[in-house]
Amino acid sequence: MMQLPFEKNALSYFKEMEQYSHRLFNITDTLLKQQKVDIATAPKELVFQEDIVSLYHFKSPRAIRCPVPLLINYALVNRETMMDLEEGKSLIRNLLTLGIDIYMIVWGYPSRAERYVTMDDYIDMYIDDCVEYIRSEKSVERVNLMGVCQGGTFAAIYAALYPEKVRNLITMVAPIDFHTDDGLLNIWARYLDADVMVDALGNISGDLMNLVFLMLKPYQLMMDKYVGLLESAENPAIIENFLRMEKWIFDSPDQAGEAFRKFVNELYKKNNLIKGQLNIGGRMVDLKKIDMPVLNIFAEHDHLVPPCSSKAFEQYTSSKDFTNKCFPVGHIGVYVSSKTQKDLAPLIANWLIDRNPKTPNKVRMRAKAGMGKELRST
Amino acid sequence: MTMTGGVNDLPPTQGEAEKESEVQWADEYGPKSQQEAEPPQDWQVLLNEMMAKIMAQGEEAKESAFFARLLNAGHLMSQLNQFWNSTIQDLPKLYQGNGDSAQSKEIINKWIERYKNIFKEEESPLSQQAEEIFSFWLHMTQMSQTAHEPVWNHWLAALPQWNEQSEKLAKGDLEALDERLSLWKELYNETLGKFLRMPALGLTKQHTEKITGTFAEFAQLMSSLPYLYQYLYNTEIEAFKEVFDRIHQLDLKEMTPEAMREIYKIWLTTNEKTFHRLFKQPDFCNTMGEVLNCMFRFKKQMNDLTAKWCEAMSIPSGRDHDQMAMAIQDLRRKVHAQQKTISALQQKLARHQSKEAS
Repeated sequence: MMQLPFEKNALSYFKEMEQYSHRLFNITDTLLKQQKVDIATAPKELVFQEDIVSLYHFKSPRAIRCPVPLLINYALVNRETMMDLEEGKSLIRNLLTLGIDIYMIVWGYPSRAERYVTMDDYIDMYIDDCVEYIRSEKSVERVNLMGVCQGGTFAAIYAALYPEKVRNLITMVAPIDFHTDDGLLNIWARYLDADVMVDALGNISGDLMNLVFLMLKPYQLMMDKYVGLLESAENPAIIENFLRMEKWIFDSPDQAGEAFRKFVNELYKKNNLIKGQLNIGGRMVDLKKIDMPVLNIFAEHDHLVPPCSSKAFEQYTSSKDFTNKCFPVGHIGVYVSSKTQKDLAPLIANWLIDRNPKTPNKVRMRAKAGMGKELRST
Repeated sequence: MTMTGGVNDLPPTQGEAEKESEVQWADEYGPKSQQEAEPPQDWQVLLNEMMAKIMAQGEEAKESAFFARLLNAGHLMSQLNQFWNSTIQDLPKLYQGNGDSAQSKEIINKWIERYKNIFKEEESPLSQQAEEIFSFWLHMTQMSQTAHEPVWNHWLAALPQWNEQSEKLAKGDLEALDERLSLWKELYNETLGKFLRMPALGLTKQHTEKITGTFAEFAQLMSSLPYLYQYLYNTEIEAFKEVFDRIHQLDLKEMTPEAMREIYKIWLTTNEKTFHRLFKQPDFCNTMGEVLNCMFRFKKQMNDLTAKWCEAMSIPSGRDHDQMAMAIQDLRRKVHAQQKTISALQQKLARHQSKEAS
């Protein structure tokens, strides 16, 4: 029997085509069935609200092992839903299971009315009010504070301004030293005129922020990611995971103009936080005032917040109990990677439990915080 | 009717005809013909001499005023013709000067001087007022030349460079593109850019300045964009060469789906790495920053312009919304501060009450 010269290759190409068509069909089928993708499904209750800022309290399925509640402060960029993406990949659920009492600040979606909300307002007003609420609600003198990414920077600033209200500080992939050449964002920010940007745009749109993040790895994030989906789309569960991730990535709130201006100018450009020259609410931020225990978590392959930017935190505090922990993943991988799922939550929970009293010192007399709107009867 | 003929009367060959035509052309327009252009001046000298003689003959000779005036007018006409003759001869020099402002000024001043001399002749048939009217256009030309100098001279001066860059570009020299962009930007900033940034006058001053300002920012944006494109294009080419080399090194025997996957991987990683290198370069960052800043400045100008128009139409503009947002946030801060004070007072009161009770 005669064999054509291209017969073998042609057959393998046809098989490939068939396989890819099948995967494409799978993706389409899942997309058609999956009208709504749910993320951040851990049960929680809205307990406090002020302007567009909300404070949620998660319902713990187990007995609380750490009596001092943990307040999580996520970044203004993207949303906190990343920490509770899906049941199997949820730092929140894992922490709840390990007996941590969790509160979470949700920054909301700044509209034009929030154009003049400043970094000072976020830290000195909103975070402080949430902390006050928890102190009052739980009758505790101090809370455990965990800041994520930009929220970690805010948490460090808050802890430096109000050390008497923070029992333990956890920073996750948080930029502290902004003058590094390891991250493209750090380099690019030096060439950006944040003043003219905010004057022209008002709030900085979430889409613009996303575009910048995509440009950090354009081929990987705008092309290979989708090719990769096609390569592994045999399983609908994989497609669903992918959709959840897509939902989180492109659910990007705008940045309040004035807060963005100060963050870029004072931190990215002047690096004033580590210089002790950052002014928040009329007070200079001195990182040396952070004397409480600190757990600093960062990612080895982080392209948004270079590890050296986070690692530098240690040399600027006066904490005698400072723990650095590096995970061999990327910025987002810290929360969703299977490598960290087993280790991250136990690390945080055990670290907190070890550093908290079995029963907190109840505050005898405390008037209810008057700020904001309490939404739960006590 | 006589017939002339013979060998010499045969029609010339093509070569001879061309030669003959060249000789005729040279006779007509060559240096000799330029020499022959002198007669008007001789004629003018003749006229002057004639006039002088008539004037010298005394009052009775001036009876024929009409004749004298006619002669004067003829003299003037001949002077004007001569002026235009020399002016036209100067035009190529003006063009060849390639925008050399000193040279063009010199030529135009020469024209003015020559023109004025026409009327300096004794017994000019024109009154002083008429002379001024006749000279008016020339002064306008001079003024116009001075006024256009900041714009056109730069462009004319850049013509040789421009042509040189076009030749280089045609040969595929991409560096010429960079040079051309720099030249364009420099010329724009020196010429049109200056006019657009100039303060406007009158009732519509503010509107005009906003419109020209917006246009100026748009032009800045457009002139900065190609630099960025150039970086991206060059990097794409660099990455392409590297991809090509690496695929060549693979020494693929067959183009199987696995080989295609390998090629895709090489293409992706090479591009990602090459662009990452570019994105870290200070030059690129500077250019990108400049483009973005131009974009934002243009947007800001647009906002200002829109606000101005909204103002005229009694429609709230973005700026009005911003002012409201600022007022709202200020109010929030004040309320917050008051709530804090109230809270502190309540705590104080509670402490006082508990003290009293105990």
